[in-house]
Amino acid sequence: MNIAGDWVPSPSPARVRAKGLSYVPEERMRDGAIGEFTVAENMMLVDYKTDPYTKHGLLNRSAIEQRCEGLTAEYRVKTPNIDTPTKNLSGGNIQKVVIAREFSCDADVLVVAQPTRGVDIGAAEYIHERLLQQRAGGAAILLISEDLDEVMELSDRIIVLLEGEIMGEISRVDFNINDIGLLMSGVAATASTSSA
Amino acid sequence: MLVALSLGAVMLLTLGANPITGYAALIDGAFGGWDELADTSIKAMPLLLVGVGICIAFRAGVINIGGEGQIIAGAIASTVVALVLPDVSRILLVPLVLVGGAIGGGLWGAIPGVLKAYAGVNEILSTIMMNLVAAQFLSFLLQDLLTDKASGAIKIQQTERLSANADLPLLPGDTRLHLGVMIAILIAVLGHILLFRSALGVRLRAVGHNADASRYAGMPVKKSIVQALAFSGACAGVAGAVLVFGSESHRLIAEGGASGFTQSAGFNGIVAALFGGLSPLAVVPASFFFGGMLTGGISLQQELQVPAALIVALNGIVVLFVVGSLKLQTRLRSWAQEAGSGSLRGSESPPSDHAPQPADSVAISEDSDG
Repeated sequence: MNIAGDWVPSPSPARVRAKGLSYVPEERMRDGAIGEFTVAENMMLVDYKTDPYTKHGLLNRSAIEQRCEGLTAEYRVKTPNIDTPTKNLSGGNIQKVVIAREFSCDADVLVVAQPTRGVDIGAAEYIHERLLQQRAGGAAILLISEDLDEVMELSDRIIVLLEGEIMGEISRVDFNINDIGLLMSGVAATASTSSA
Repeated sequence: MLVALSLGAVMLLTLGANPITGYAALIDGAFGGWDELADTSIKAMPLLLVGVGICIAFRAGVINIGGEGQIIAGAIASTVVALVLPDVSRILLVPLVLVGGAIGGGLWGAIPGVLKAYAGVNEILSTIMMNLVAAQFLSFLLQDLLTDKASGAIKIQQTERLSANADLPLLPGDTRLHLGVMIAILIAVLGHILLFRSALGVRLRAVGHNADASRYAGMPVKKSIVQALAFSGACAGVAGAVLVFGSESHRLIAEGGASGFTQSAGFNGIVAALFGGLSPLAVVPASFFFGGMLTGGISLQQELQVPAALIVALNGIVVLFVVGSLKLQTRLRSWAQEAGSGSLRGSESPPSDHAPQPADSVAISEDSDG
């Protein structure tokens, strides 16, 4: 696997993260957050053992608290406090916790899967905003989504996948819902890309 | 708790004994004076040590039923340390045998950990099997290699009187209470720090709750499983060392099988840990309570001439009811919560954390008994 020019042999989540990749999983409650953990613990799930959050193996509570209070405010996570069990939050707010964690890692590459599925409109717009901010900050973003509006609104390039195969690639200037629709149904891959 | 006690009372009645004097004898025998409290503490020590280990394993999602085997492995390792280095000064040898016990138990625990992490072997199965292996291994060692040389032709299954430099020092006061109780409480505090104040604890608990999310966050899941079982085994191993070097005989003995030596603490420690809500500090009162039941049972037997096995049964009933009612409480609460949020009335203040809950009820049952 190649990440921002670095070759990663036998990739594992730990190895690709070390190379500067962040991942917002599709199934936020299964793969993204731990329901029983507090908001703060979930926000620290990736960086928990790095300085200054852990010193000599022991957690540095004030540093963790400061960061999580900051992230909660910055990402507008609606939670009674950072020690609330994450499962008590709404889906959109759990997603914001995951996104706050992943976006605050300063990653070079972001893999973001279905970031707004099941999230209310306000939160979804906010998440889109943050995605574009990451892009402006120089991160490469791979957005995986079934929401066509979302994909068309945010992407520079769209690659349509059908049953594991790349059906075609469209650049932003050529975005056209009909062409994408055709690609999605597996029709006329070459014709559509050349037409517009 | 009350239901359990009244069931016990019925059992006492059927045996023709007065339950009130029975319970009075039990409480008096367990908590009635300094000597009784000391005996209770001595019984509680291995329960607490094993229990702290169980907290670590269970929190990491690993069901460690191998406390017995890990106690034995720790006892063997610490005994070997004392046999090899009998002349080291006491201030060094006591820590050495304890560390030896921790390493022995830790390695014994790590084996099923490796099997689970890298070969997918169910840890419940492997830890139980490792108990049997450890018991037989102990019996084998005491048959020949470690047997007391002085015993001559008739081989008793025990080692020689181990170096006095390794004896756990008695605490001031005129009781049998020795340093082991301080060690056990220290381990409980360390266990609490490990689980809730350290980066390792975050990882172990994360893996225990949700291995998938932990893996995607970049945590080494397999390593965590091995570590959890190793730490768990190390705590039980210290219990093994305390059982040997804090015993009256200062020998490693397999009196009538391994359970005679371990006092089944490997299993009872699980009960104490669950009773303490898998929180190491709460296991301190929980194991003290169960230690009291065990010592009180002996005086109950003496006072009323009822079999001490009754207390074992009573223990079982108490555990079933208390642990059962705790589960029921949390379930009822989560039902209430779901019903509340389902009707969009927004039930306020959902139960924040059910972990401390068992601790409270232990404290309550302590008060009502002591």
